[in-house]
Amino acid sequence: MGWVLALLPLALLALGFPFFLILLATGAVALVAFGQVPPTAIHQVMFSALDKYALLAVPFFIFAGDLMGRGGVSIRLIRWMRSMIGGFRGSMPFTALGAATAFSAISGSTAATVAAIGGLTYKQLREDGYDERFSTGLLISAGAIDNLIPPSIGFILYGIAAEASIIKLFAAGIMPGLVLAAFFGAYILWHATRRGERGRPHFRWSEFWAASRDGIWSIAAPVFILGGIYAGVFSPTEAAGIACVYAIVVVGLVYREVSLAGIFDSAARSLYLTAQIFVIVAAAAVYGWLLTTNGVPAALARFVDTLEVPPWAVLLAINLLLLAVGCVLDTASSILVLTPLLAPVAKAIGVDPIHFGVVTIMNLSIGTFTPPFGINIFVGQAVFKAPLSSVYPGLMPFIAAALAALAVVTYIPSLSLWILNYIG
Amino acid sequence: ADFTMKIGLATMNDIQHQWANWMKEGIEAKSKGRIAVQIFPRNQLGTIASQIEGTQLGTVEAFVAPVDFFAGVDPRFGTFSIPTLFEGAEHAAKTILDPALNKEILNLGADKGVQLVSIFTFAPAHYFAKAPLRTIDDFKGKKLRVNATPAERAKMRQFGATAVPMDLSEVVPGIQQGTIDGTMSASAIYVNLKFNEIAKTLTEINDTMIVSGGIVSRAWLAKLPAELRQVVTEEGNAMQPRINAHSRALDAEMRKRWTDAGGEFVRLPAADQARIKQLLGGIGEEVTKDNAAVNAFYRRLKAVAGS
Amino acid sequence: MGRLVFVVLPRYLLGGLMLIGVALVFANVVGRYVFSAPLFWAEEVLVYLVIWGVFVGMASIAYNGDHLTMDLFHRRLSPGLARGVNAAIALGLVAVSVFVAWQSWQVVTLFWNIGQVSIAAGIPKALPHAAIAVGFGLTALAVLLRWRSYLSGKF
Ligand code: NA
Ligand code: NA
Repeated sequence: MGWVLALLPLALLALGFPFFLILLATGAVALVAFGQVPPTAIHQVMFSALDKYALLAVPFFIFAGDLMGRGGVSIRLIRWMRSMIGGFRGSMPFTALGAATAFSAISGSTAATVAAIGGLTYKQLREDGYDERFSTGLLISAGAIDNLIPPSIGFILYGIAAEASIIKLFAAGIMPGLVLAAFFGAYILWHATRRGERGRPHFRWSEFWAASRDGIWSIAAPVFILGGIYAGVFSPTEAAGIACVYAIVVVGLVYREVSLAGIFDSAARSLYLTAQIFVIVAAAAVYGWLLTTNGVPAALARFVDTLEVPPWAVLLAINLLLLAVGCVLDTASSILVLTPLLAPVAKAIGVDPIHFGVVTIMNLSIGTFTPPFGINIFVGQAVFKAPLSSVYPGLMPFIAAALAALAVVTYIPSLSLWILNYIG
Repeated sequence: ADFTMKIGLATMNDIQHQWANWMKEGIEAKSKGRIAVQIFPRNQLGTIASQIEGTQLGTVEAFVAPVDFFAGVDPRFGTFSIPTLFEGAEHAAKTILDPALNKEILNLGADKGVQLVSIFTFAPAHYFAKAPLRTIDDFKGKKLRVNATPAERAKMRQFGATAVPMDLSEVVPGIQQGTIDGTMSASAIYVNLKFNEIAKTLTEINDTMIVSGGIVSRAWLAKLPAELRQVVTEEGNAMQPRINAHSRALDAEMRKRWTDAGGEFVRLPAADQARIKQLLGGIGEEVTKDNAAVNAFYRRLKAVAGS
Repeated sequence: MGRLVFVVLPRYLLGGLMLIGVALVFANVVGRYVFSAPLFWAEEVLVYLVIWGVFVGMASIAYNGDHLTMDLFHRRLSPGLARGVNAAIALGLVAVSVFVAWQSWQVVTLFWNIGQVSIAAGIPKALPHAAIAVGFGLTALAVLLRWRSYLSGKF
C-alpha cells in the first residue's frame, strides 16, 4: 500500500499529468486494490471536501479581486499607496506585501489572500518590470501570512483539536505573522537592490491629494470590509461575498469602467478558476483520507515521539515532519490529524501549547506554497496563468526567507507569547 | 483482524468519545480481535453530514453524533430535542430506555442504511452570550447561534431572539466581534472550546436535551458473518444504560470544570422559569403537525415521557 | 455543438451561480443585521451552488485542456514520447472520470431512492451530489471530443 501512495503520484507528476488526476488516480487504485471500503468513498470524500462553508471565501475573493482589477479599483488603490511610498526602493512589491499583510486581518484562509491580492497587484508588478518568477513567488508566498494574523481558520482548527484557547492563539499569531512579513520584506529589499533600483524618496501633497480624491472609493474598500467584520456586521467568510457586492457597485455604478456583461464575464471566469483549484482540493482529500485512515500521519508522529534527542532537536524534527506533511496533506486535515498527537510531545519537552500552535500553523502555512503541492500554488497558477517552471523557482527564495522566520519564531517563544500578558 | 471498523465523531473527550472507546473495548474483545476498531474524533473523516452519508454508503463503518443531525435521514430523529419534552437527563434516559420505545427508536433509519445501536443523553443545552442572559427578557433581540432545525427556530421566536445558523468554525470569532450574541450548547463544548475566555455565564433553563445516537453502517454489517454482526449491535444495545448514566457523571464533571475556570451557572427567576413550559410547550405540535409520522412519533415520545 | 455544451452554456451557468451566490450572501447579511431575519438555508444552498459550479466547470476545463499540471519536465520530452504521455493522460482522464461518474451515480441513486434531504434547506441530497456524477461524466465526454487536441497538446 505504502509504495503506491508514495511513488505513483511522483511518477505521474513528473510526466505532466494534471494534479487532480494524479491524486484521484492514486486514490482510486489504492481503494480498489487494497481497500476494505466501497469505492463510493471516492465520491463521498470529494463531496465532503467541498461541502465546507469556510471554503466559499476562495471563489468570492477571486471574484472580488478580478472585478477590482478590471474595474479600476486596484489601480487607484495602488496609485494612492504609491503617492505615499512610491519613491522607495521596491515600492511596488512592498505595496503588494503590505496589502497581503493588511488583508490577513480580513480573510481567514491563505488561498483567498493569494486570489484577492494577486488579482489586485499582479498586473502592476509585471508592468513595473518584475518578472514572472519574482511576482508569482512573492504573491503566492505572501498569502501564508494570512494564517498567522487573525482571523485564521488554521488557529480555529488547532484550538479545537488541541483544546487550546482560540482567542490566545489569535493574539499570539500576530507578531509571528509580522515577522514572516518582515523576512519577506528583507528579501524584497535585497532583490530590489540587486536589480539596481534606486530609491528617490519624494512625497508631494498635491500628488497625494489627487490620488486620494480619485481613489476614495478604492481606499474605502478595505476600510469598509475590515470595519464590517470588526463591527460584527458580517463574518470573515461573508466578508468575501460582501467584497464582491462592493466591487460590483463601485466598478459598475461609480467608475463605470466595466459593463454588466463584463461583470457577468468576471463572475463566470472566477468560478471557472475556482473549479481549477477546487477540483484539486477535492482529489487531494481522497489522497489525504487514505493516508489518515491508514494511520500514516499518526505513525510519523509516533516516530517523532520516540526520538531520544534534546528538546530543540525534537522541535526541529516536528518542524520537518509538518513541512513534509504540508507538502501533501491540506492544512485542515494536517491540523486535525496531527495536532492531538504532536501537542503532547511538545508539552512533554516544555513547549507552551499556544507557542506550539503558532509553530504548527506557521509550518503548515509554509506548506501551502512549497512544491509540489500547495493550495496557494494552485491559486497562483490559475489566477496568474503562470507555468510552474517559473513559479517553482520563483518561490525558492521566499521559502528560504520563510524558513528563517520559522526558525526565529520556533526558538524565540516570547515573540508569540509576550502579548498574552496583556490580554489576561 | 479480518474487519476494520472506523468510528467517526465530530467532538472529542466527551460522552460520544466515551461511547466510541467503550465500543472499541467491547467489540475487539468479544470478536476476539477479528474486528479492529479505529476511532477518528474531531471530524477527521469529514463533516458531520458527510460522515452520516459515509455510514449509509459503508465507507464509514460507524458514527456517533447528536441525533438532530440524523433528521435528514429520518425526520423523526429531530423530535428528541423538542423543548420541554424532558425534565432532565435522568428523565430523558428513563424515557428513551423504555423497552418498547427503545426498540422503536433503534429501528429509526434502518430503511435508510443506518443501524442505530445506542441512544443516550449527551447533556442538557445551556445558553451562552457575551452579555449574560439572566431573564427571558434578556433574550429579546439577541442573535443566537443554533442548529437550523424547525424546533430551534421556533424556540428563538418564542424568546424574541433571532436564530442564526452559523458554521462552528465562525462561532468563537463571531461572538467576539458581535456578529452573533451567543449560542446554545452543552457544558462539555463550552469547556473544551474555552468559552470562559469570552464570558463567564451559562444560563440554565433545562428546556432542551441533547440526545446522541451511535449508528453503524448497514452496508458494512451485511458484510459481516452473523455472529460478528451480533457482537457489534449487541455491544451498542447493551451499553445504553451504562452510557446514559455515565453521561450525567461526565456532565457533572464538566460543570465543575466550568465553575473551576471561573464560570458560573445562572437560572431564570422563578416567575420566568414557570413561564417556560407555557412559552415553549406548544412548539412540539407546531413543528411536527405537517408530517403525520413525525407527529405520531413525537406524541409517542411525549406519552412515554409523561408516564 | 461541443463548444455550446462545454464552453458557452457552462459560462452562463457559472456566471449565474456566482452572482446568485453573491446575492445570497448579501441578502443573508442584510436579513440578519438589519431585519433580524437571516436566511437559515443560505449556508447550505451557497455551498451546493459552488459545488455545482466546480464540477460543471471541471468538464469545461477538460474541454479547454485547462487542468492545472506541473509542466517542469513534460516540455523536455521528445515529440514521440510526449505524444505517448499525452495519450496516457487522456486515457487516464477518461478512465478515472468514467469510474468516478459510475461510483457517484450509485451514490446519487441511493440518496434519491431513500429520499434523503439536507437539514436546513430540506433539499434532496441527490441534487448536490449529482454534480459529481454529471461533472465527471461530462469530463469523460469532453476528453473524447477533444481527443486530437489531447494527443497533440494543442487546444
Ligand atoms: Na487572517
Ligand atoms: Na506544499
